[in-house]
Amino acid sequence: MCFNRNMLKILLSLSLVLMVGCTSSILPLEISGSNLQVRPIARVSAAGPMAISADGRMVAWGGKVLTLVDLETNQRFEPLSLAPDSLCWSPDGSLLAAALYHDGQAQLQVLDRNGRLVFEQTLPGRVFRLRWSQAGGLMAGALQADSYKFGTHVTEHLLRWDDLWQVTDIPLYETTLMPITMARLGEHLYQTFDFDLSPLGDEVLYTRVHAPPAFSSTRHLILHNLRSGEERQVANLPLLGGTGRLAADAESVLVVDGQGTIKKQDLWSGALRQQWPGSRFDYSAATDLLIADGRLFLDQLEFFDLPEASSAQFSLGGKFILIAWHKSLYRLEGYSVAAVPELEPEILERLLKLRYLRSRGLIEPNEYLDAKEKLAR
Amino acid sequence: MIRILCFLFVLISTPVFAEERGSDCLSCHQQDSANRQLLASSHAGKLLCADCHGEDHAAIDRGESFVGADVCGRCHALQLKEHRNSRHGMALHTGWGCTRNEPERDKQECAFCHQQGSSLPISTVQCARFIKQSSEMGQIGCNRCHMVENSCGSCHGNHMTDAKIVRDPAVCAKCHMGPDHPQWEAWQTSQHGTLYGSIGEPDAPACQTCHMPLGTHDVSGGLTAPPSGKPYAQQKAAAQRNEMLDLCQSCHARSFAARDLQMADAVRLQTLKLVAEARTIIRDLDDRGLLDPQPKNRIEHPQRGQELVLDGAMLYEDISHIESLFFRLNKYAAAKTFKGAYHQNPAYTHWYGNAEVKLLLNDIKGEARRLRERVSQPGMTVDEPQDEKALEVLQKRYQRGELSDADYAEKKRQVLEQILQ
Repeated sequence: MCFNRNMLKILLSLSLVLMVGCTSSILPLEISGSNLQVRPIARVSAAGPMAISADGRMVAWGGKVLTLVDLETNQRFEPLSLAPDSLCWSPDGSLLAAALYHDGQAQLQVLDRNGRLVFEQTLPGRVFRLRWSQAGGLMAGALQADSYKFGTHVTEHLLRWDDLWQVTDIPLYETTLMPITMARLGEHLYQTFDFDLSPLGDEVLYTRVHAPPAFSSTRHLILHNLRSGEERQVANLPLLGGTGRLAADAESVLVVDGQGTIKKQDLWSGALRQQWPGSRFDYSAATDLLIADGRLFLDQLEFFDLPEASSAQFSLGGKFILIAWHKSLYRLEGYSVAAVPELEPEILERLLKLRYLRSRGLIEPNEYLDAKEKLAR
Repeated sequence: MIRILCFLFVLISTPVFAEERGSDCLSCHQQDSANRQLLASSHAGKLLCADCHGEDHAAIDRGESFVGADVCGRCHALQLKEHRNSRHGMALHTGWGCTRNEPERDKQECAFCHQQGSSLPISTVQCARFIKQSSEMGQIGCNRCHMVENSCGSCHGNHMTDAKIVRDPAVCAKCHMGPDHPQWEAWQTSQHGTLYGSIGEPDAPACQTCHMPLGTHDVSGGLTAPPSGKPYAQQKAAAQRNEMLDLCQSCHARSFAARDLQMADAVRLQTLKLVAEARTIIRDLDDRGLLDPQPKNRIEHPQRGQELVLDGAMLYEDISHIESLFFRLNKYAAAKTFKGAYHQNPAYTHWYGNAEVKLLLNDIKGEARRLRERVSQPGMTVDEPQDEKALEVLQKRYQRGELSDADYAEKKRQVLEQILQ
């Protein structure tokens, strides 16, 4: 996964510097003398989730209603008069998954490019994070909450659909939160659960509330190996805010602490590797690019700033950035992206086995790294 | 006026009722064997029924009149103290189980662990073998020996408490015999025992001569290992050994007795080494998932769940064939070997003990070979990949202390090399 990373970084750095020059603000300014292109897409009436397909052709957002735009044909659809909680495009851009919540019922709807319903399913809990990748298929993180006099029983599920829409429910965590904790969380409870899939598809990073009696409530960032089911805590997070993303090398994690700092640290040793300022962020594991509070980084190299108060999101594969700014959506493209090279299937299989053995404690992290190095030779 | 008359009546009649306490029982139980035995014992004329059993006849009828050791201890305080400090006083700790959560339990059993009216246990240790038994089997097969912790009557009898009963070595045989700890047989057929049969005391020793010298109720004196089998620390063991040699010296040269017991120590260590070898073989099979049935596919062990148990909590039910062989080796043959050696009995040490240990070890090795070979037969492959299984086996061996850090790392490296090839 991370072989020849230095070469990759240099190439990407050069390409970005050549194309962008000293540009610091790209919206709504025109950028001359570079390949960067900003395309206005639409006005949006309210903030909400948004998603751009991997090929950059399809854009969807949900403020008050769900809207799809085909940028190739300029067709616009409004298939649902509901505001979705979460959106994501399939890797080929042909399908859109939307997580909805209406009348106490959580639902997944999958639509084609024209907004026609392809698949729908009732979900066991509300979903604020959908993820669709080649490695993992469509995945949703559902949080189910059942209220009782003595507290609220919370269950976190990871739902995973295959090509035939068969779903696998992986229960990740359950706990009972005391009324005092629930009073602090309110409707934000559902946003305490976030997850990310490793670029290798074998491990999931997720958040869970940790609210022991007589101690402050926090959240834990947990690494879960999908094959072994073994888990380990990676970081502590505040009860509200903060999350984590698995980095492109699949060996480190970006911990967003919710208090203005994003740290990249080793998944197993916890050693700090890099640090950036920022709270609003998106990360592309396919390219290792990070947008933190509107600033685009590759490692510590900063390339350009987006306007203040904008929010940005990478497409799957990282070739496009969808930007929301001043109630408008823009598509940014034209920066040369060098994707992280994929491993040969035979090497990937052995690497996954080593990672599985490490998760079970059958080999130590240092033994894993030695074996991985030998595998790369 | 009526009140004064009532008060005077009570005042006058009280000594009469006190006098009647014992005779109340005898009005019905005069001819009972219990009374006849009591009258023939040294307690005759000194104790009334109610002194030990209390006056609540309804409670007696309900079977709640158990006379625990504390009742005897009211008069025999020194003996009770010695008893409590000895391994007899820990008998429940070495083999007892609370049945409060067992369905259809016999509530009479409570009296063996709890003083009347108290919820505090005398013992908090549970015995898996006891829990596995029916109420009846537990009562006869377990309690009648292990009740010694809280029942003086276990040795002395309940009513006929003459000292001559408990000075007879046969009284010990009730419990200290059989395949798991044949101390009585080993003594009886040793030179000590045969001399006792021919010339008797004081020139031939009985159980009590060595284990209860001068009438002490501390039966643990002079022993160098507790019932768990793990030897005492060297300093304590040396002191205990000296205590025993002091007794031996009354008939033997001290150096002769010391050499004899040292040889028994050596036999014990050699035997435990063979037991450990057998245990390692079975653990290795378990690590590799080769036991049939595997612990995860059996009825759960009442204390340890679905793990392999080969220690003192090992059961003889719901186990694999190779574990049955190990049970016999460890619990019967090994015990015969070193108990035979410590009681100077050649036949028990060798033929009932040592030979059986080694024959059973052969059987265990043969069965292990069969189980290993069976994996390669069609339909009998182990589910997990072999390299993964190999790492699991190494990890378990390391956790049991069978591999050093360096050996563990090296063996893991070899498995990883195979994965990388």
